[in-house]
Formats: sequence, structure tokens, C-alpha cells
Amino acid sequence: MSVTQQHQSRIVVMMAVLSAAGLILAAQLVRWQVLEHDHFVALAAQQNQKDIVLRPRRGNIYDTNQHLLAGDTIQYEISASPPIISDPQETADRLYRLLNIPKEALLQSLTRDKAWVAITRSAPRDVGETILNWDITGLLVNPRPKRAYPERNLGGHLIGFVNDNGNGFYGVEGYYDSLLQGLAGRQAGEHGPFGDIIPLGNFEITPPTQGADIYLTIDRIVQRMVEDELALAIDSYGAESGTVVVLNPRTGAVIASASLPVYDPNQFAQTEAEHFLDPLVSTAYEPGSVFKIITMAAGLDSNTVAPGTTVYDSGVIEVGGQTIYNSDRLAHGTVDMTTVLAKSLNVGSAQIAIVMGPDKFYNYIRRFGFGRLTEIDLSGEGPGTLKTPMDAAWSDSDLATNSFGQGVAVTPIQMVSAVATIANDGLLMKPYVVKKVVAHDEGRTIEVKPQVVRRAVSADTADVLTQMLATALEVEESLAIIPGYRVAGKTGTASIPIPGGYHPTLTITSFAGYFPVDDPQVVILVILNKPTVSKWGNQSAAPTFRRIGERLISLLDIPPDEIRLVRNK
Amino acid sequence: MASQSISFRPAEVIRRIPWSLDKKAALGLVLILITFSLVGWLYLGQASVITSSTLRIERMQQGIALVNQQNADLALQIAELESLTRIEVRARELGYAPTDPANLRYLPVNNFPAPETEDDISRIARTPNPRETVWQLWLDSFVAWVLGRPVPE
Repeated sequence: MSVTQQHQSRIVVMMAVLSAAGLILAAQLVRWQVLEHDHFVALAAQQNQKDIVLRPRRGNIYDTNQHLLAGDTIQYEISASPPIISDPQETADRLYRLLNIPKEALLQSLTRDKAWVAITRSAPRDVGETILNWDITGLLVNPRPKRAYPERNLGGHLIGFVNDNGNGFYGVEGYYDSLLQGLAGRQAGEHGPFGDIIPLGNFEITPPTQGADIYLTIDRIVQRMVEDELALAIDSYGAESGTVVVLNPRTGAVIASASLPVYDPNQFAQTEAEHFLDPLVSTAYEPGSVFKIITMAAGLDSNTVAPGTTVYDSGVIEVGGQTIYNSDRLAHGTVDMTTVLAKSLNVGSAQIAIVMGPDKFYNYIRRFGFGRLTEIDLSGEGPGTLKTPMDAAWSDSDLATNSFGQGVAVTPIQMVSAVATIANDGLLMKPYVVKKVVAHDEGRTIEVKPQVVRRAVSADTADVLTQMLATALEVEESLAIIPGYRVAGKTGTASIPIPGGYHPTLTITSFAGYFPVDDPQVVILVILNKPTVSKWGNQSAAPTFRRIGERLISLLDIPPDEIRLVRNK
Repeated sequence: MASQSISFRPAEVIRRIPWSLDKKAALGLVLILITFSLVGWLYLGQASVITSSTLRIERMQQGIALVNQQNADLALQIAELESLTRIEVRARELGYAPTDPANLRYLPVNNFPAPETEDDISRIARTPNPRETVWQLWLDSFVAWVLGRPVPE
């Protein structure tokens, strides 16, 4: 074989090999691109197609004067991939001081035979950023939003809290959770190995919409003052707990609401669940004699009685087989309606309800909003308990006992709204705590307007009753009277129901009142649970009302009657 | 007509491949190469610009998010510094004490300029300016004198 022939045969062999390789490649390409196209597209999509949820920033909560009460900050979630950490000992050395975790426990975590271990979910911002700057391979530092409450436990029940998953519970956080959360965005399409979008790839970004900011009707300074006074009252009168609510009777706006003991929403994880419920809307209690305001309003409005109507009070009355006494166990003889209120006579009150009859009486009770939700914008509201003749458990004696607030359970917000109805010329307003919502999606501001629920009694009835309540306090020289101001109100001392009857000594004392009588600007309800120093409302709740009222005068700038009435002449 | 047989033997095929190119063909190939290179260069250049712009936009968006976050953090810090608990502590440090309503006494101030009510404002609005009144009187008197009517007092 000549050299030329040798070359030619080698070339032929090479061509054959290359052709075969080319054919194989072509066949493989056909397989990948045509026959198994869908399978490989799906495989590729698994690797680079991601749909990342972009979490929106939660809206802020402000008080009525635009002071921040709740806002989002950042905390860091720190975890590790032990197999990737090159020097667990040194890493543990550096971390334990910052994270305040025992070094041994940390080292144990970093040397575990696991692909991923959690170290902490809530490292503070500065700690997280320091660790982030160390840039230790195998240590994962991810930012997470954290809800912060700069005023700490101020209005804790009202505000509620947000858990680690970003869901709001209780109070405003719970009620307005969907508004505050905003709308999640998404980043869908081709992403690089580190989660970043591929600039020339196909992707779609829908930015998240920040949650709406909420402005409350609550004034933080009034709120603080009310909490201080409530704490002082609980301490002074040896009470177990208490609630105070301050309401604007003209609008139904809650200016302050305090219930003690209260919790710090920043520390919700360390708080027992029973403290989360806001007694303002969730805890029903027997209101006692404060309820006589409602009975008297019903009696006056239905023309069953007039202020000058007299009843004979023998100190005891039997209704439906149950004997009812006055709280002082005395007979007061012939008394008018103002005296029934001033002396807080159960017998007189029961007589009004009996003459009125159950249909009329319960119709009025319902008109004042008892036995149903007030629909206040707070989470966890309860309707209380109101038995009517329609219920199987109702008996004739209930008509009499209900007239002075026994056998009926109401929430503080129901009670204060009902009393505010008298102060507001007989119009029942829907109570509310949010006055404005600022939505970020369209820059819209939604102002919450006061809402009239219904007329409970006529304006004349409300006016007459207001004068009677004020006179009753003056006749009895009540400790609730605020010097310089005419006050209308009523004390209450309710026994606490226990299985088989009522507790022999423990009571719930309360006072509901409003001032100035000629132009009511605030309604205050004070409730003290199980006071031990005095079990009577006129000795514990009434003076607390006065102290709060006195401080409200300067905070809300309410001039004394003599100045205001002269100016208005 | 003489028949011409075409051989497909590999050796014959290789021999017939035109291994050498003439100048025109070579120029054509070079031009095609240059054109493709130019298009490729333009494409890569644009792709690079788009990529860097996208990255820059992404970084700017991250920057905006960071600034917003820092802004929110600052607002929170301000709120914490302005919190009532902190203000109370600072006030006590400065020697202030909380007021007790029982020990608070309001002193009456004679002739204190009380804020005007809406009634006062409307009354003031209704009261004619003395200067205007004088001129109005003169004008009314003049008009009455011209028209021969009784002169208003």
C-alpha cells in the first residue's frame, strides 16, 4: 500500500468516525429537542422557574394625634448548615456572646449531623447585621419583619398583637388584620441559582401593596392617664382587676379604654392566653344598679312613670316567688323617681318594670343594645346574656331582678354605649376605635363617620333623665361629683354569681356617668372587680370616676360650668 | 454521446473537493464572517447593557426598600424615644412630679381674655365698623337731601 493510499484510507476512517459521531449527536439532539422536549423543559423549569412571594409591609397603627403605637421593624432568623461550616468551634465562639445562647448548646447545634439547624428566629437587628457582615459560609441570616409596640403595654388589649407568622390577633390588630397585612406580591419566572432574576429571562414581578395605616380614636395621653388612675384604684381599693372606658357620647368614639391587668404586646409569647381577651368587649358582668338608668329611661319614655311619680317602698317585694330587698335592707316609704335613683332602690326599680310589663321593658333593653353585639371594630366581642320572655329559662322574677341589673350580663362597651345614649339625647351611636384608614394602593384615605344605630328614647326623656341623675348625685353628695361641673351618673354594686347563687361578700362595683350635664362631652364607665377595701360602688368606683373626670377636664380642655354657661348665653 | 460515469468512492470524492478558494469566494466568506461578528457584537453589547441595567434597577429597588425600612425603623425609634414611659422617666430626672387632681387648684383670673365663641364672632361680624357707619350716615343724608326725603338721624 502506497503512502497516498494509506492517507486516503485514514481520512476515510476519520470521516466515518466523525460522521458516526455527528449522527449520534444529531440523534441525541433530536431526542432532546423533539422527542423528550417537554420532559426537559419541565426539568429546566424546576431548576430556574421560581414563584417567590413578596411579603408586603404591615401597616402602622397611630393614636388620634398621629403618635405611632404599632409598626414593623426587622429581626433576623439565624440558621446553619453544619456540614458546610468549616470551623464550628470558632463559629460557636463568635456567636454565643451575641446571641446569648450557651456556647455548649450552640456548638452541639453546629456539629449535628443534619443539613440544616435553626439557631434563633428572633435575633435583634444589630446582631443580625453584625453576623451578616462576618460572611461565614454555612451560616444563614435571613431578615424577617417583627411587630414593635413603642408604648409597650399602653392599650395592650385594644391594640392586640401580631404573631411570628405575621397574623394579627385580638384588638385592632385582629379586627383589621386583612387591611393591615396588605397584598402580597410575586416574583415569578426564571431565576438564577441564588434566587436573583435572570435579566434576559422571562419573569413577571407584581410588587406587594403595603398594608393600610390605621389611626385610632384613642388619645395616648388620656389612655395613659386612665391606666394610671385605674392602677391606683385597684391598688387603693384592693381590687382584683378593673376596666375604665371613656367615650365621646356624640360620636361613639372611644377616647380611652383600659383594663388591668394588661399585657405587653411585644412580649405576647410570654403572656398567658387568658390575658389576651379585652374585657371591654369580651367579659360580660352583672352591671347592678347602673342598669337602673336603663330601667328609668324605659319607664319615662313609655310614660309608665314621670319624675314626680311616687311609689311606696316597703323595703321588700316578692315577684315570681323571689323576695327582693333594697341593698340597705330598709323601707323608704313613699318615694319619687329621683329618690329611687338617689337611694338606688331595688324595690322601686322592680315596681317600674312590673308596671311596664315584660314586653315593653325588654323592648327598651334591646333598643339600648343589650343582648346583641355593638359591632365595635375590635376583635372578640361578645353579646352578653339577656334572658327574655321568649327564653325557656326566663321567669317572672327575672323581670324584677333585671330592672336593677341582676340576672343580666353585659359587656362594658354595651353598658357605656347605653349610658352614652342618654347623654346623646336618646340616640344610640355605634362605638368605634378607628377614625381613619390610609390605604397605600391608591393613596386613599377613608374617614370613619359616626353612625347612629337607632333612637332608643326621645330627646325629652334623655334630658329629663339626665337632670334626675344629676340631682340624685347631688342629693346623695356623691363622691363622683366634680367641683365646678354638673355630673350625671349612677353607681352600681353587683354581687358576683357563683354556682347556686351569689357570692356572700365579693362584688363588682361600678360607676357610669357623664359631664357637663348641659353639653355632655365624655361618658366614663369605671368597673372594679372584687374590691376588698369597700364593696360599695359609691365608695370605690365613684371617687375613681371623679379623679379621672378631673384629669380629663384639663386634658380635653373642658371649661367649668360657670364659664361655659356664661359664654354660651 | 459519450457517457460520463460519476464515482462516489470516498477517495474520488475527496479528490474532487475544491480545496482552494478563489479571491471572490474568500472575500465573500470574510464579509459574512465580519457581518456575523458585527451582529454578534451588537447583540452581546445590547444584552450586556440590558443585563447591567436590570441589575442596577434591582439594586436601586433594593436600595429603596432598604431606605424605606430604615425610615420605618427611625420612625419607630422616634416613637420609642417619645413614649410616655420614657418622657415620664426623663421628667422625673428633671425634677418634675405628676400632678394630683386632689392637690390641684384652679385660680380665677379677673378679666382673663377667654377664647371667643362662635356667637361672639358672629356678633362682632354683625357690628358695623364705626368709620363705615359715619360715612354711611353722611351718604344716606346726602341721598335723602337730593331726593327730598327726610334726613335719617
